Amino acid sequence: MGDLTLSAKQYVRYSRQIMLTDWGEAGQLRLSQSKVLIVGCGGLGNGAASYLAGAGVGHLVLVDDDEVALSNLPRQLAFDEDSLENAKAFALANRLREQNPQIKVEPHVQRFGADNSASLLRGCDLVIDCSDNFATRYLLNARCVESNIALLSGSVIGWQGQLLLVDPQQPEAGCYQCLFSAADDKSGSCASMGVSGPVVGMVSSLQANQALRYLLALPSALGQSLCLVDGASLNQQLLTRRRRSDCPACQPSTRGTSHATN
Amino acid sequence: MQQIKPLRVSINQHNTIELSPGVEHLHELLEQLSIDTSHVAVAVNNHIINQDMWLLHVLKDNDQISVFGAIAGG
Repeated sequence: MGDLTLSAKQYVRYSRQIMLTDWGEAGQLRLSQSKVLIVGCGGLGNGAASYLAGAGVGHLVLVDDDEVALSNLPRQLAFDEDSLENAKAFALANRLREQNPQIKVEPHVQRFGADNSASLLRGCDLVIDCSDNFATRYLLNARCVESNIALLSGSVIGWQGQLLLVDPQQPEAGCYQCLFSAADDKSGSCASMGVSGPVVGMVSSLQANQALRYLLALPSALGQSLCLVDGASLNQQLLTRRRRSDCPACQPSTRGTSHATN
Repeated sequence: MQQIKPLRVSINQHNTIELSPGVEHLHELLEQLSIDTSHVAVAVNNHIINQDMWLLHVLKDNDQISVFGAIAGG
């Protein structure tokens, strides 16, 4: 990274963020060398990916096996009526390439699963969970812990959002499964419970902001806490987390046991 | 003999309730509130108490309890 410099055009493009004192040119170069996996290209994935692409994160990997549906359009702002029935990962990738041709976008029309997790995680600096089901959330959490890759998990329903960072550097704060040991899809999805589009936007914006701060190695309270976002009352609550001593996903013996990062 | 005043706790920043007789620990409060605990996380005074500690966690007067469910939408 030491020999890299920004082109004049890049310098202008990213000038408003480079001028932040704790961002700078070094931070921008760091982002250009970063690889982020985004699991789920729905509402959260649309928002988070658009901000990361705009900010110049160098390599975005998008994973989703679903197609764009009419009921997605109120909150999935990278899609329009021409996108209907197209694969979300491809449609989002096309939009991001138009938004920022300088970055690499790698779409996969697949569901994140046990069979493809190692290849999808390889070389990633950060994973953002924008998925819509608990099975994927638990699997992604376990694989990230095993691979020593940070996981930024966001979720939304109704007027509510939740956000946490599972940071390999802060194992004492535990993981997603320490917090919710046995949730299943009876707990509700956007399809069954409904969701406010702008709340999806709020949570995806917070995800993108925290993702950029993580990639820039800037401090974040989210590594030790869970953020609850309430779009009805406008309350935002930070709750501190601790590792659950009997959590099967993040026992000290499971941390870093996978070689997906190599 | 002076009667012992029951402890009061707030639930999700709104309702303040009195603990029923015999309710001292977090798991007993969740029973008092008839909460289905299979999908929820609980915080006391903004610190999450993991489920394996609900039996042991002793409640205090004016504790602020947050109870919320896991959500999966994306």
